[in-house]
Amino acid sequence: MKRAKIILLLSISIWCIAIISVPLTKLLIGENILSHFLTSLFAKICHQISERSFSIRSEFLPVCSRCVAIYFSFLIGTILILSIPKIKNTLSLNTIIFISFAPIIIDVALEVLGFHASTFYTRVLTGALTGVGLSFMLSNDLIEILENKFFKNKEYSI
Amino acid sequence: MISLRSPKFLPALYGALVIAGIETVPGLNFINACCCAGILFGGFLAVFFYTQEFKNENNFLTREDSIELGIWAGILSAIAGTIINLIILALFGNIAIEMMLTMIENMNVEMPAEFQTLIDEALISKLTFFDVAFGFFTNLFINTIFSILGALIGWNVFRNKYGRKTFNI
Repeated sequence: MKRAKIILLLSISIWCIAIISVPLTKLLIGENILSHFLTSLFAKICHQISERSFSIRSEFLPVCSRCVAIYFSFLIGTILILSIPKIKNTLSLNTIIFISFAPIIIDVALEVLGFHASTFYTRVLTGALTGVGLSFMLSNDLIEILENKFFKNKEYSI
Repeated sequence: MISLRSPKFLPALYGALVIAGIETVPGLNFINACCCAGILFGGFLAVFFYTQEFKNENNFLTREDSIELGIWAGILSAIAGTIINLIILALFGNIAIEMMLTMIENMNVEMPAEFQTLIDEALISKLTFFDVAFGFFTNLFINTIFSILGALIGWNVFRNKYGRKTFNI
């Protein structure tokens, strides 16, 4: 189980490091193949509008602030669950699903319908709630999948 | 493995078509701009459609089923997405970028000059085999990962109603 936890944490960390590495490598060595590749890759999953993105010394991250909040809070949530497993039992599944999706859906829907313009803070806050909620919902499943697929010989279902 | 006769094939295909549609149809693809929501939704739908085929208590959902559905929805969506994308490009040209430009203008967002140059280049550039291959493999990678996550969300949502635990021996 320990190896599966390490692999999961490593995978999420690599994803988060890939996000930060784009502006960092640009600052260090200028435009490069890695940053170009990662920017193209993340373009598949994010609008990459610079007005809505975090930047490091005016080099923008390849995903928007909401996405950054989701991915990094997913990492933080997973670390929390792995270090304090009992924390997951404090919330029911329905509560986790509600916390994960209701705020972000309301924020996006209100903006699309023109009732309020989402701000940097609402995007980060709703993204963070989604990320933490998803980590509470999925991290144990992901660990067990990794454990079963790579570190156990056979699995029987009844 | 999944085969054409497997009861999982059609639900995975429906989920894949939803992902591919959201990914490629201009306008709809802005759903994915919300952090892969479209891909997660497709993986979730694959599990949902699978549970809708259950007729009695002998049919049940396992986490492994959900993962399998997610993997296949991801793979099939990458194939379908590439094909639909090529068809749209052949018929209408790169209208996705034009729609994105209109949307950004409506949002009153100021674009950096280099971004404008990139868009201008994209509008006049022609599609190469490398572009298609790169698009396919990045879609395959991204879609499969996020579709599995969507399917796992589906597992968590439906496991109380249709779920059956698996035991490791």
